[in-house]
Amino acid sequence: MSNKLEAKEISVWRGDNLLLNNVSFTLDAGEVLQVRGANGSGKTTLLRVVCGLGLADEGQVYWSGKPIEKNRDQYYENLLYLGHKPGIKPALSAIENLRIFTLLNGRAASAKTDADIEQALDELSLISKAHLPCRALSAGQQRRVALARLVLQTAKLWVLDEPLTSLDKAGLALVEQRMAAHAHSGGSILLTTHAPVNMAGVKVSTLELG
Amino acid sequence: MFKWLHRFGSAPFVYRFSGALAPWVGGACAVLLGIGLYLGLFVAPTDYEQGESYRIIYVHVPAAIMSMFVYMVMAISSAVFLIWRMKLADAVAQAAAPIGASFTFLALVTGSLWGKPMWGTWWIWDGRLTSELLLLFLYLGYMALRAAIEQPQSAARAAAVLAIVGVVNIPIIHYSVEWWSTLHQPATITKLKPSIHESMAVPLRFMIFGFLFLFGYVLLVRLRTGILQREARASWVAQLPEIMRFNALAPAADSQAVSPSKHSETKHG
Amino acid sequence: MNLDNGTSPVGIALLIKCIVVREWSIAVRNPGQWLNPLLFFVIVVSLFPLGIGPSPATLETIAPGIMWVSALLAVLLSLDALFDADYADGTLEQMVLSGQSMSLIVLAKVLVHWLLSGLPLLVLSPILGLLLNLSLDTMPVLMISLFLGTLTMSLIGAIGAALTVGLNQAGVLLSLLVLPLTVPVLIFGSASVAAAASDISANGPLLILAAVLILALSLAPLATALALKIGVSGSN
Repeated sequence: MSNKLEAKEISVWRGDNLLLNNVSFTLDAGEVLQVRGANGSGKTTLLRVVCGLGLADEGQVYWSGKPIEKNRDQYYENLLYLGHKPGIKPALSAIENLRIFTLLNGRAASAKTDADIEQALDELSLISKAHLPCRALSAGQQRRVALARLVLQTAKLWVLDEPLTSLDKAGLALVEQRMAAHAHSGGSILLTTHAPVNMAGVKVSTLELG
Repeated sequence: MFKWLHRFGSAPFVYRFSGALAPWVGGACAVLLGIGLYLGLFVAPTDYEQGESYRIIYVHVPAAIMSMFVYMVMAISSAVFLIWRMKLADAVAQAAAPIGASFTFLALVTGSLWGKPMWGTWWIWDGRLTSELLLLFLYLGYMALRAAIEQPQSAARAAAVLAIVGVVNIPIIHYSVEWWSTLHQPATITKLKPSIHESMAVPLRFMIFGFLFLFGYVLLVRLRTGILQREARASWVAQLPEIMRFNALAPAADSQAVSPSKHSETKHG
Repeated sequence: MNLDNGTSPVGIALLIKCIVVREWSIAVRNPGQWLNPLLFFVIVVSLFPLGIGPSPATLETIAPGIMWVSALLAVLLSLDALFDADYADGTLEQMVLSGQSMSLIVLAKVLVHWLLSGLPLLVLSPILGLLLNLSLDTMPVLMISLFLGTLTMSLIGAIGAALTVGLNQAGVLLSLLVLPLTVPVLIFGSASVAAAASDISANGPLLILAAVLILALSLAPLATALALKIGVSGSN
């Protein structure tokens, strides 16, 4: 089974404005594709369409050769999406927040325990804050909580919308290293960033929008 | 079958077809309403209990029937839209909603006008009138939801869900209101006597069919406008004679509204 | 129409348990979310005697209606926030993308919501009933009818909350959409209390309320899940 993501001739209108015009790309296992473009060029919209969260006026997204609507279970099992809104509840602690993600996206075979979550938080140097409510964390720390999912979940395809915002240098390096490891192990990444990404030994292709 | 569906769902085809059909439906509506009103207001005998005031049933009853019928049309189109993603079905539902609301409003007003001579009061919490009032709320809710959601695709889908939820609820609402009204007024006033004399029933039938055709006519006209709005950027719209005439008249103002852009091919259906 | 995402590899019981625990911990840490509607219920009920006059006989006749309309409005008020926080912080889209059954998630959320808003209302209702001169004998029927009715209300209201998710001024629109749909609950709920107050058997209306609840329990989560998916796909 090939874990290939394909977008064919995606067009999206916003009112009278053609936001995405016939965008096509393919992303094979082990590849990284960076979507670039000015603000308002439709990067986020494209990512949401790829995830099946947004509707395209025309075009189709395929996973392993099948349209994603017809292949939802398999697709979502293999998909990790990290959007602008990270899905972190301010009232809950980092551990409590991550627990739901590992359950929602988890599969029985790869069940995660609290020990796994703590290990992931340790890797992101958040372990001392693991039991604080997330509203007590800074924006960068909250971002790290969300990014802990990259460590915890076993999805093949990562779709990351601006994953590097509000991260410090150490955090940046950590995430880049994580992404490189993911690509090396045969995973694929579709991401948007403003800054160039440096990943050792990984070829990053780009898709220019707008 | 699918080819036929696709053709039927294609916007240019429907636009032209409904344009050709509309005058006939409108004509039939005028004839039926003309005959119905003449028979109802001048030929049908005076009721010996209610005098002349009963004649308002020739508007009230068809309006009440249509208010329910239009909601069914709306709900069925919404289901077709959600299941087969047929955009035209949504256009039908959108076009039908204000018509249905108008029929409901008409039924309420005529019911209230009728109530004055019959019960001596403008409003009575009678089962049928109360059901009509709730139906009006359902229509207004549908229209309000549509208007509140900015993105047309989401608005259409959310409104479709609401229409289906509404249609599941209408029978429950209707029977509970019926039950409620018998509970509170043991001797219910039934408006339409179970048997109505033939000389009064014939005009009523004309009026009911007249209202049906009126709905059909207004629906076709509104559907055409709706299609033009939805397809404003399609090239076939810009090539319509009526649009080209309009563009020629107002060369400056139109450029944004209906000129074909580079990417003028949109998918229909 | 894809109402559901199919089988979930993680057990259904585990999923529901996890959602319930999570919703519960969030709600316990934001007490205003469920306390305010409760307070609203108490205040609205106590406003009626001030508007109508304190005559015990009058109050007794209209008490079932007052209790029921106030309960309806209080539940509606609390529903406003049912999905909004999840929508705003992105949890909702993660739930849609998880591939788990959205209807089950919705059902779990609504149940927690009812435990926090409907149940306290139920517990308070006899005290408020006494204020309105309802006899003690009617209290069991009042509580049973409120149990069946508020749960139905939460389920129906969830559809409205899902349809208006992320909209400005969703509260008013939500009332407009949901209130007409709750008329049967209002009718049979207050009728059962009125029947009990005049020593007639309330079984008929209560059974109908139960039937409406079962219908809502089976259909409302499907509609809510679909509406949430639509709401999520509409945002940018």
